[in-house]
Amino acid sequence: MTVERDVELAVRAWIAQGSEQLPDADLDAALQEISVTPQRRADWLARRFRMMNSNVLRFGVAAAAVIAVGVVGMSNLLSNFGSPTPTPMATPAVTLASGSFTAPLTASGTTTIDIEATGGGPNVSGSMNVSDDDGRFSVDLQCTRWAEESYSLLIGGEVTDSTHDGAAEGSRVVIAFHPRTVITTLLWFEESPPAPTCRAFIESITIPIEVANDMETVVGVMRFESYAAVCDGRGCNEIDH
Amino acid sequence: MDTGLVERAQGGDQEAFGLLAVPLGDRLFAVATRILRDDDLAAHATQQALVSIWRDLPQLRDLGRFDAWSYRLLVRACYAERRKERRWSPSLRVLPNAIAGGAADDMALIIERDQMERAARRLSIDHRVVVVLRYYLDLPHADIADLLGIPVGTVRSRLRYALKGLRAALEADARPARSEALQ
Repeated sequence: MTVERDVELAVRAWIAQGSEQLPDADLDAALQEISVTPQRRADWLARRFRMMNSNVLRFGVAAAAVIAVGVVGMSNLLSNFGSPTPTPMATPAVTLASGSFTAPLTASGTTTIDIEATGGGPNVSGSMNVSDDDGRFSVDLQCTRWAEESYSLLIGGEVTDSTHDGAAEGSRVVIAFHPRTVITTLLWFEESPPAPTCRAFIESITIPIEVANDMETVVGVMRFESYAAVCDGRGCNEIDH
Repeated sequence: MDTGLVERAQGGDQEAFGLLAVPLGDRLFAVATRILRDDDLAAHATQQALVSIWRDLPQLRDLGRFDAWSYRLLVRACYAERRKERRWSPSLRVLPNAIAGGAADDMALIIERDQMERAARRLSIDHRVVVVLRYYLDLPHADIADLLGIPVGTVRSRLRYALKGLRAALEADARPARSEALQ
């Protein structure tokens, strides 16, 4: 123990020595580069903050799910996520997303989400039920879009009934799934003025990759067209589809 | 940290960021130079971190976490810089002037620091990062884990491994170095 303490003291003494001031030339070079570097403005994120800061919508950002998947699973998942194209004649209906999971929320503790959606493009049918300590609401799912900028699958719909202060009936909401070595999910609500259609709303949403990467872990089961997994919060195991 | 300046910079005020960047740049550079063990690499990593901080600042949710978030971006820049570094680097170091006319105590101190320097260079960047965050910034294990996005247990094991490595290297170096110094 004493020896360890001695090493710690030696490390502290050694590490205290060294340069402490960024040379002026390097600071100037950084500021020069900054002067021509635009900031990454995430409009949806700014809106999210406003919602979270008010008591209007604690679900402004809701479930965020991170599911570790294997290479094969991810390959399947990506191929599934990559082409949510319109399916005017959806017989039999293609599973877009199906499952039940919980996820830690930024404002309201654990949220439970159940989702069932089939179809593609502007022809999605299905529903999503969301609940947390503050109430519950249901969403009639209506449309979907693949967001190239963040490799995310977006599924949009309209709140049909609600006991939750944060989710007014008639408002539009989108759930996004982002696959990488993990999958990310979030909920986002429409701001006024309302978009005329689900499709107009979903096409107005941009999710930067940095934001999509910054989500939380889901616990539960999720199924997509060609991939299904059960996740325990630390990782996921692929299951029969 | 001046939260007002951070807020203004988050809103796109370059002048505010310029004011913020002076002390911030020094703090980041001090950490980078201890991680990378090279002032030039550290200066470059700090520049890159400052640009990243400016660029991504609108996405920072909690301004109270600005410092931790900045260090996270700096560590990423250090990793990136380390990847670009040549595999071979000269081990020649210029010792402080004190050694020229120094007393025996000064000499012993310099030798010990030199041994520590060499031992630290043998550590991987993963281990050096946790050593610097723990013993230079005095961050608790949990904060280091949060900053690096790794479990607390991993932080502890990396620290244990690093200290063990430093101790072993110091012990291995001690005899030859001291005997050379006394000759």
